Amino acid sequence: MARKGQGVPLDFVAGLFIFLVMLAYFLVLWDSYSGRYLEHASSIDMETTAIGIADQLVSTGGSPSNWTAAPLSAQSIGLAWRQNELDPYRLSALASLPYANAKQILGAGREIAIKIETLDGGRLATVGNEPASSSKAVEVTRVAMMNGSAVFVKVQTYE
Amino acid sequence: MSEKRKAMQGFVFSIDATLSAFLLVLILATTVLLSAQATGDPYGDLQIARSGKDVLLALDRQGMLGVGNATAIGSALNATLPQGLSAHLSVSTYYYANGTFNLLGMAEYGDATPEGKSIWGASRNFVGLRNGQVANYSTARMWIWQE
Repeated sequence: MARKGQGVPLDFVAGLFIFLVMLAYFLVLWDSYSGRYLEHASSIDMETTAIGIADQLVSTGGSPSNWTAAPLSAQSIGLAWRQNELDPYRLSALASLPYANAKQILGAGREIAIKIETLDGGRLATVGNEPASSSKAVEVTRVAMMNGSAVFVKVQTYE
Repeated sequence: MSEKRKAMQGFVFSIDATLSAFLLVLILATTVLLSAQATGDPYGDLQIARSGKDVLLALDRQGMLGVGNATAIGSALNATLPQGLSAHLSVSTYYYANGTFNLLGMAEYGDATPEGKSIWGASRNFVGLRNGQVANYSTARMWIWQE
């Protein structure tokens, strides 16, 4: 009977030891990965924002269709008069908007910079300020046409 | 303790051990899976695929696809591709006669497709006109990948 009684606490101690080892393992993992998860989620959020804005600019003409007449009253901004064909008038209207208004109408919850460049890097238009080299930024590049030439539409989001 | 009781005790212990080992493997696998997901870029693939469609559309609108000049197309392709991407382009041209499409020629441009890399594809159909009439039908296929 005495030997049987000793067997139960040994099982318990072994089980408790394994449980504590696993708990410690998870605490270490949690500490290690939670920061990385948050950083990754933030990057994904920035990327989806940039992808959405770039797609909206090269695929839609904005709403209402004549939003260039009163850019501050635009419900949404788009630069295309047809798929991947940018309208210079729409581009001028976007560039003329104050940054805060452009950001709000584009629905960006973060800082943004939009650059329209020729293939050899010549700048055609800029909206917003480029991120500082130290800030975390995501850039999405789309290729579109404007006045018969290919251009890069670069959208950056940053913190 | 009888031999029968000893055997039964051993059996109970092995079920416990198997269940514990199963749970341990499950937890470790979940941990590895979650940590792998934390480092992936789910939208990177989408962007490469979209770049392929964009570049093909731009080349078509510039009238480059039907030119057939390897130097001009190669140069336009390199200039139009966003930084960090490479592509291979294949243009197949057909003529239509007696109710069927017949292959007239196939031209290849750009870099050779690499081995062991993820490659995305895009395609675009266009027609060649001569004196306002459709002279031939072409399909441009692009394979695009991250350098």
